[in-house]
Amino acid sequence: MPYRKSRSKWMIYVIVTAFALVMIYPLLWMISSSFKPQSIIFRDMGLWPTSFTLENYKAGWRGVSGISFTTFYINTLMIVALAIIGNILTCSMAAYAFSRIDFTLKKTLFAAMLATIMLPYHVVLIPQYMIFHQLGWINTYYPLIVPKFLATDAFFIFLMVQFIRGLPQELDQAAIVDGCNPIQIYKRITLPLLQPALVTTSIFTFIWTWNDFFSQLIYISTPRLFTISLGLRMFLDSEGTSNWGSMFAMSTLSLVPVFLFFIFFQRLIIDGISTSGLKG
Amino acid sequence: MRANRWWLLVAVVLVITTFLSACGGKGGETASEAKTDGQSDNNAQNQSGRTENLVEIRFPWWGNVERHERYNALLDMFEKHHPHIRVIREPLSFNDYWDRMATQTAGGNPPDVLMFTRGQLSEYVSRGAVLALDEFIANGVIDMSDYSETARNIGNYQGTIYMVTIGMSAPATFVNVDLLNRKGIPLPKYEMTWDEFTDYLYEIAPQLGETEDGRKIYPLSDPTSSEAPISAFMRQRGYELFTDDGKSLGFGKEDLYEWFSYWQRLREDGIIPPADIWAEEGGLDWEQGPIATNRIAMEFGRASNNLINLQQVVEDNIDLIRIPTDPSRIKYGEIIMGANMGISAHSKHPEAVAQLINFWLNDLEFNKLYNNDHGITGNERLLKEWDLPPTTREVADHLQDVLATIKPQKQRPPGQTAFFNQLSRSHEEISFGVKSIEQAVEDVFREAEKILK
Amino acid sequence: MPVIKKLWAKNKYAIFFLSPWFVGVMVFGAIPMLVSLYLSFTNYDLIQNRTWVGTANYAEMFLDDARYKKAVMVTLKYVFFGVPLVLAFSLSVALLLNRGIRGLSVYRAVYYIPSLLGGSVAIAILWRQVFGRDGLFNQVLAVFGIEGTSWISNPSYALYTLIALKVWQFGSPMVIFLAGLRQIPRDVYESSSIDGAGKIQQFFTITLPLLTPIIFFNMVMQMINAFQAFTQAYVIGGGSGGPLDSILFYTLYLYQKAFQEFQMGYASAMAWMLLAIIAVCTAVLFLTAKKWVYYES
Repeated sequence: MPYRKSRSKWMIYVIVTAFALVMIYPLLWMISSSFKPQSIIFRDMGLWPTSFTLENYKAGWRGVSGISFTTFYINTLMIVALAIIGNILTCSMAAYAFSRIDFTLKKTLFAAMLATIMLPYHVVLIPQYMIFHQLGWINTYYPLIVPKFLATDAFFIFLMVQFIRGLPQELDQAAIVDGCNPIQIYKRITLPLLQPALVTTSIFTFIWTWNDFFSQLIYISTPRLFTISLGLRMFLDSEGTSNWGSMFAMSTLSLVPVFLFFIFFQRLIIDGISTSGLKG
Repeated sequence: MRANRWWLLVAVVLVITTFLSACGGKGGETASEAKTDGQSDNNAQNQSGRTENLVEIRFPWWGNVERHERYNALLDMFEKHHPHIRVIREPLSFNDYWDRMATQTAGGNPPDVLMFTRGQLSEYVSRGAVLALDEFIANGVIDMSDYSETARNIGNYQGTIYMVTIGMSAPATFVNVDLLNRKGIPLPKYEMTWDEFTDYLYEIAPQLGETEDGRKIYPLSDPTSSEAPISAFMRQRGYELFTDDGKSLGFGKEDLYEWFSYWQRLREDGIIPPADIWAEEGGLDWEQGPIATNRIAMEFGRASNNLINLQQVVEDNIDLIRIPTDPSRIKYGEIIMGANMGISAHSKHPEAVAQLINFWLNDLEFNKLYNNDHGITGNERLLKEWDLPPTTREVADHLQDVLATIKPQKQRPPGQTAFFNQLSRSHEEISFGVKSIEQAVEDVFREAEKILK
Repeated sequence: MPVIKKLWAKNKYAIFFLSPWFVGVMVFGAIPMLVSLYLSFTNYDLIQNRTWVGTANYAEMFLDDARYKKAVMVTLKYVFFGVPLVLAFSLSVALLLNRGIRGLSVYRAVYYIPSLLGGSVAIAILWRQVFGRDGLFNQVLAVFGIEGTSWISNPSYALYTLIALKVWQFGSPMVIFLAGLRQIPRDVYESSSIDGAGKIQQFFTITLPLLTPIIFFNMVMQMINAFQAFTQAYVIGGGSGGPLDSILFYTLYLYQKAFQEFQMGYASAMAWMLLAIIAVCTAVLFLTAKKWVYYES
């Protein structure tokens, strides 16, 4: 019996590992290219660099117009941090209302929330730009951050609604009996239990904001305010040679913080929720 | 509890980044830059504390990293000569430039300095987004006395000059001289008729063989849907692509049929790459493009100034020859292409932009640094004073040659982007064998009717 | 007055919790949406003209636009093939990883990496390295003696490379499934084991039912997402829609109409049409949800 069990386990490991290698092949190719001199990137087909150089990283970090990637990183981190806080706060509030409170026009407003996810971005882009222009917010970070504090990422509202609906109501009811109002229930009971969803929201907000380029492109025009995405796009151009080496190097580097963020926070999902809270 | 620890982390990150950005942002910059919102503002104080009428103009441009560095140096030079003007620089990559230009214009926030190619000029000009330049040229603020009549009118739209050229190029056929020499093939003549050209292609096709990694080498690229080649073809027959009023196509169905058929024949006979190869490789450029990879020996009807950048990434020697001539009709049909600069109709400081344009067009030091980036300068005095590097000299000579021999050209009308997109699609449908040439011609004309009305 | 008092009493907490969202929806949602609805009845060209044309845009879309039909077909194919595949992969891998393999977090991170790369500027080149004529895929096929074409530039196959790209990024829904799996309290499994239930039985009686809200969420979001897919098609096709429009996604066509052909009115009409399609599909999903989604509350 033990022999058979370990063989099937071994099979799983093989499959899972092979699959993983296939999954990250493009990433491996990009990392390997970032260490090759630019002239041979597209000629040298193998994964292992025949000629190794750090020049792409040095040149790439120098950035554009005298603004290095240090600035881009700091800018992006700041925007991302604020976006995460905004989303966590306001989306959970809205989600709580939609799933635990009964109020007038609930169904209509819920449908409205879903509707905002469904409209293609390119079309609300122009009216939104006009609004921001009227407010004088063009070429600042406000258009990227303020909407996060107004729960405009309805994706997360919907996500949290589904999570909250999966939580048993007994705790809430016990708290009501004890005389708590909805705000207290939200703070003390729902929010802690919502942790996996909050962590998921943080991870996704981080990644999406980190990688988002279109809104950053439209609203930010001074290189000094650029984010990493905009900086990366500067390396490509159709009119002359693109700086592939620098782009691959900087793309690889820009993956590192996102990846670290993911690894750090996924542990919070792993460790699960303590079940004792539910029983008591 | 873990939740608290995680909140703490986020708060710490926030504090650190805010602190860092506050520090990093202030270092060595003037106060007005720290909160720029891209609007021009008068009477701002510059760093030495002198109150002047400091004028700010916004200048976006497209390019790669090298161009960004170069333009920054150029604008520094300009600002030194014009201390009361500050240029706010907004570099971008090519595709992003147009997204932002459209959004900003629609949103009421266009930049002061506009840069367009033939493809966008009419779209923005016809919709009132560009300021007319005739007055500036007449009273010498923009000095074009060293420009020929043709060069001066590159940015002419329906009788008024809206933009001026900051670099011209003409379509040429790029010939990989080294490749031909390696295969022992005689080089093509600088000027050939269509018949001579076609004979030459068929002659060299079997001699080209394969590249080192076993891929077939074709004599020529596939230019069926590029503007310059098809323009040249039609102009040689006495037609422009569009009528003067811009409401319909200037050529007939038979002409388009002939054009499509010619290239289809070449495709079927293996002179130009078939649809699937061209779909994959034709879209790549520069060091990945078909000339660089030796997939083709010659590239038809490409903007001549591209030679300068291409030669830097391709080891083989490449020369320019003219588009085939048609002595039985109008001999030469090329059109002049390149980049143009203009002033936004909504700019608050048109005179400042005019001064930038004037400097761009006339200053020798500036142009030496600019180095004919978008095309050869139209300033004939500069060209005489300047000792051009060999590749640039070749491009300039070719351009002079073309300018001396072609008839005046027309501007594209608004709506033409959709036409060229349709041409591109019909080209694909024919080459993939999905539609017949007759059907494709019908499609193009029907689409043109819809968009050009 | 008593009515208002009653309304206030009922809704005051809701108002508190929903006020940020409400402001956001009004300013950044409702107003732009209404403006775009208005624009869909005009021939707005992004710069100057804006005259009322009534339903002309919609009429042209349905009756006179072959590319529109193509765009709809391409997008529908993408949705109907892509979404189920992504869900299947992400759920299976999440279940597998949830079992507790050694080095679990490494695998989970590795499977998630593609989602980080997916929207990047580099993806066009990377994907060509896999599906181009000399790419990895063909090299693998060559081992089995099959000669591959250039998948990414072939009009018959280009769309499938994009579907593959979507499935490659199953990490996102997988993370959500993992979060959902972790939310199922362990003592439920413990007590059912005590009652003598086997692993498979537990899967069907505990895991799956308790997971249905998350499955439903992922299904809806992936579907909406797939209908709106833009970046990958734009980056890989260079904004053109691919060979023979084979990857002309709906939003890509919309983008071309708005930003390349300056027909913003028409693009707005397209956007509202897309909204209608998505709304109908979502409504259908919600209606069927009543049958199979199990909420604890």
